[in-house]
Amino acid sequence: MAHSDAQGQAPLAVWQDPTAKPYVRIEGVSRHFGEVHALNDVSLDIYQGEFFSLLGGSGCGKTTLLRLLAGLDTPTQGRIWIDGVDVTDMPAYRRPVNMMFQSYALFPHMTVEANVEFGLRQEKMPKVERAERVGEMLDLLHIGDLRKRRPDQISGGQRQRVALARSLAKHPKLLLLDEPLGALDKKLRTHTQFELVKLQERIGITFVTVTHDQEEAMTMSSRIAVMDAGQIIQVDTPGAIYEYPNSRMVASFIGSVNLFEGKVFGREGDDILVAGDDRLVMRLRCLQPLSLGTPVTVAVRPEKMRLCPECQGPGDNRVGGRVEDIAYLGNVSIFHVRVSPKQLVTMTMANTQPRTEQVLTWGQEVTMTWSAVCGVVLTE
Amino acid sequence: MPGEFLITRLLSRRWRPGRWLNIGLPYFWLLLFFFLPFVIVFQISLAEPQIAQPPYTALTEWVDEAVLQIRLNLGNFTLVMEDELYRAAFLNSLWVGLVSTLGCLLIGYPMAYAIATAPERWRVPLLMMIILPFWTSFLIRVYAWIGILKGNGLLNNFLLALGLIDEPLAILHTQTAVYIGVVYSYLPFMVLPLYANLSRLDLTLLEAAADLGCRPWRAFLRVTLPLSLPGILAGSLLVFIPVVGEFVIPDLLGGPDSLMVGRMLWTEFFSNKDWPLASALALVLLALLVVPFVALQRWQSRLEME
Repeated sequence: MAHSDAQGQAPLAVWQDPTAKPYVRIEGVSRHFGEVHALNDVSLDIYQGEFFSLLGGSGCGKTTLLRLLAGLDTPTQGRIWIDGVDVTDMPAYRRPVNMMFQSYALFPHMTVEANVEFGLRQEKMPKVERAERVGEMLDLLHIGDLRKRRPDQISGGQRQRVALARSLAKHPKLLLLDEPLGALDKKLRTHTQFELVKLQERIGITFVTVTHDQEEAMTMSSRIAVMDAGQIIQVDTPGAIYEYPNSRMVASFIGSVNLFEGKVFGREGDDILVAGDDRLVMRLRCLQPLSLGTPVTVAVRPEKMRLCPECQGPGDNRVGGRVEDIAYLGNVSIFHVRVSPKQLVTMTMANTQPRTEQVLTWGQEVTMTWSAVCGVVLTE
Repeated sequence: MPGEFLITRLLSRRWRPGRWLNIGLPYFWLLLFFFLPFVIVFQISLAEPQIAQPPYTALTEWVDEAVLQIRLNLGNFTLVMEDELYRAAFLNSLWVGLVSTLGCLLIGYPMAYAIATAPERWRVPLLMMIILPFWTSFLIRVYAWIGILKGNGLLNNFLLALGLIDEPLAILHTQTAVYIGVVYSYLPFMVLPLYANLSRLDLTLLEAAADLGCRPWRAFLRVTLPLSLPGILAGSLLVFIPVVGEFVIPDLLGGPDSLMVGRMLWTEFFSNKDWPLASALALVLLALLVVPFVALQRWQSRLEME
């Protein structure tokens, strides 16, 4: 069950509008390589203008799905529609789709200019128009100075721009990006993330990107599909995926999380009561009907936990333990607190005071607290 | 890049401490086995034949105590350049070299491409099939072609049995037989460098071409072919150069019309015992082969500069 941001007044996003027609429709698609099931019965709708990310670890099937959209591979089962046209059996060279490859795949024997022009030549676009479009693309990505250089004569960041320019040159309706920022160093990456989003908003093309970097997906995407073992586990906005993961897999893949195992033993209005190990009793907001005795996992993000004397509400959950480790990251500190022989709880705190005045030290006994709405009840 | 053929360049980049020895050794080798023989051949080419041991005159001679006479006979070169027969032999050799190189390229490219794109486990067996004939003597393999091509040979009998022809084809001892023999013998020299090149081709480039709207055939012309140019050049040189000087194949399979420099050289050297003329022939041949090689290298380095 997918939660969504509880914002009644906000206009409906396109994927929430039941009358909107999906731009890309993937229906029951599987791709098997012999015994290996790279994709298993995947269905997904992507809407026009979205910045959609396929997120997952390596081997989860995200790149396979992207290649199916590009037409570089055909599904074993299922159908794919792009803009209302069934493209399942359409070869790559006919699809109104362009892709930016992870390795960039720039033609090494051509100049930057010729690379960008390549797709336009295939379209038999007249020469004048072609030159104009190439100029436009080079300007858009600020690589005009490089037009006469060859791919081996420019830097990685510049190559990334050339690859992007080349894939945008034909004005595709759908742009596929395979780990677009994978080869860049961290600083350039953060910078480029924002640039990509700005670019996408400006030209209004639908982007589908593949990434294994959850931070990247969170920053750029309108929606994220979290994939695992050839299946889509959850599709939602970055906020919803982070705050309301639908499974243990999603909760632990996106950010860090504390998981408490327990059993439902009661309900009070919108809240349920969960009995965990070591007599831990938790009260959690849960609208889902769960019968007594159902085994559940409670997921609590480290930053949702606070130190005990601080603002303790009447219904708040509590757990005590001993500080085992402190990692100081500058803006935040991460505390590992041993609450039971089996369980270590992670709590992050913003360093609002200079370090010298920090309250917690190693070995200290602490009690941590979190409110009923800050924990998520997972059954899968 | 053809420069890679020079062992010296490869070696000189490594193992700094023994640099001089390292650079020196290959140069010494070249000096001993290339430059020195070249000088000897050059010297013989300027001499005159004589019936003696050695069968050519010395270039220098003491006329009396203090006068050293140097006699340079340029007649061999003028003969080689001007004589119709030699000129025809040179042209024919270059032509045979050109046609055979093209033949090897047309047959070898698809073979190399097929091997390079074959599933991993098939590549080694397929390559072995290319290399395997080398394990038999070159001479025997050329002789085998006589058995295949001759009047009542395998090919003719096969075609007669099928009823495709009424009388045996006269292939043996024609130029066609030379082409068949040369293309057969030199095909591996085309396939191997092409394979080495094509197997390194990044297949995502072809995917990128398809993604940008390129049909497979156009992708081949615009991406694969230009990128395999170094392989084509290397293979072509490996075929063209030895074929132009080829002796055994035209001698065994060719007829009276297959005039080739290699054969002429043999005749002058062994039958006519005219070492100076044979040497002059060899030098002109060398010059003819060095020119296209240098031109290609220049052209390629200019390509790389751009």
